Amino acid sequence: MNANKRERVIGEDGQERTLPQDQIEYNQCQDAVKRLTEYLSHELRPDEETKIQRHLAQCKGCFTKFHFEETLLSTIRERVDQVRAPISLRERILGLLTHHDSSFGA
Amino acid sequence: MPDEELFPSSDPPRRISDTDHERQRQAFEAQMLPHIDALYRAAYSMTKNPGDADDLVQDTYLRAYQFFDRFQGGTNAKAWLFRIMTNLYINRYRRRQREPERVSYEDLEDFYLYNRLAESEDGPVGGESPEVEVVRKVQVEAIREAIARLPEEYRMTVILADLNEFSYQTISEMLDIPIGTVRSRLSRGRRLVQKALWAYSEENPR
Repeated sequence: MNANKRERVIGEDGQERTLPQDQIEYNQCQDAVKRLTEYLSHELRPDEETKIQRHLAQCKGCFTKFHFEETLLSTIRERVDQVRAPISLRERILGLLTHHDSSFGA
Repeated sequence: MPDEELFPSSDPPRRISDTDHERQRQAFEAQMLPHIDALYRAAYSMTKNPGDADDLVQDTYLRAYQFFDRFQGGTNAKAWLFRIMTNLYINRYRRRQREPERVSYEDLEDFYLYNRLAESEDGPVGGESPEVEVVRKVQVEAIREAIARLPEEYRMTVILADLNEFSYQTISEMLDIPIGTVRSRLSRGRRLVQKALWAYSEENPR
C-alpha cells in the first residue's frame, strides 16, 4: 500500500478533506477489534471475515494480538479436551440403561 | 425451556419387545455415548465438583434415553444432549446453589492477558512472540480455576461457545437468551478468563 495515500472524507463542516494514513489505519484497527469476539467464534459473515483477514495481513499490531487470542483459545480447548469421563461413570450409565429396560420393559 | 420444546412429538408409548429394547439401547449407545467426555468436561465446569458432574451426566443420559424415540435421527446428537444437560443444570443445580454472585462491573480492556504479558515479558524465548510462548504453557489447572471463577452466566456461555464450539444461535436456544446477549457475555467472559489466568499465574509463580 502506498504510504503517501490520502483518503478523501467529508468533515463535519461539510468541507472535503484528507485523512492521514495512520488515522485510516487506526479506524481499521478499531473496526477489527470490535469484531474480535465474533471473529474468534467464526460467527462473522464471510465478507466481514475477509475484511478482517485483509486487515490482519497489513497490520502487524493487530495480527500479533489476534494471533495471541487464537492461540489462547485453541490452547484452552486442547488442555480441557484431555479431561475424560471416569470409566466408572460410563459403566454406571450403561448399567442404568439396562436396568431401565428391564424395569420398564414389556 | 419446557420439555415440550425439547421433546416435540408426543406419540403414546407403544409396547415393544425385548429385542426391540435391545436394538434401541444399542442405537442409543452408539449415537450418544461418544459424547460422554464432552458432557463430563462441561458438567465439571458447570458444577465445579466431580461428584455433581457425575450425577449431572448420569441424569442427562437417563433423561435422553427416556426420550430417545423423540430424538430426530441425523440431527446433532451432541447439541441435543447438551440441551438436556443445560436444562437439568439450570433447573436443579443452580437453584440449589443459590450462591450470591460477585460480579464486578469494572471495565476490562481488550487483549487483557496479552497486555499484561507484554508489560512483564522477560525477552523472547523462541521463534514465536514471547506472549504466545507463555500461553502455550498454560496448564489445565489454571484453566479450570479461571473458568470456575467466572460468574454463572459468563461461565455457561464460555463453556458452550469456547470449549464446545456451539454456534451463537444454538447457545441462544439452549440458554433462552438473545444472540446479542450470547455475544456480549462471551466477550466479557473471555476477558474475565484472561484476568483469572493472569491472577493464577501471579499466585502460582513457577
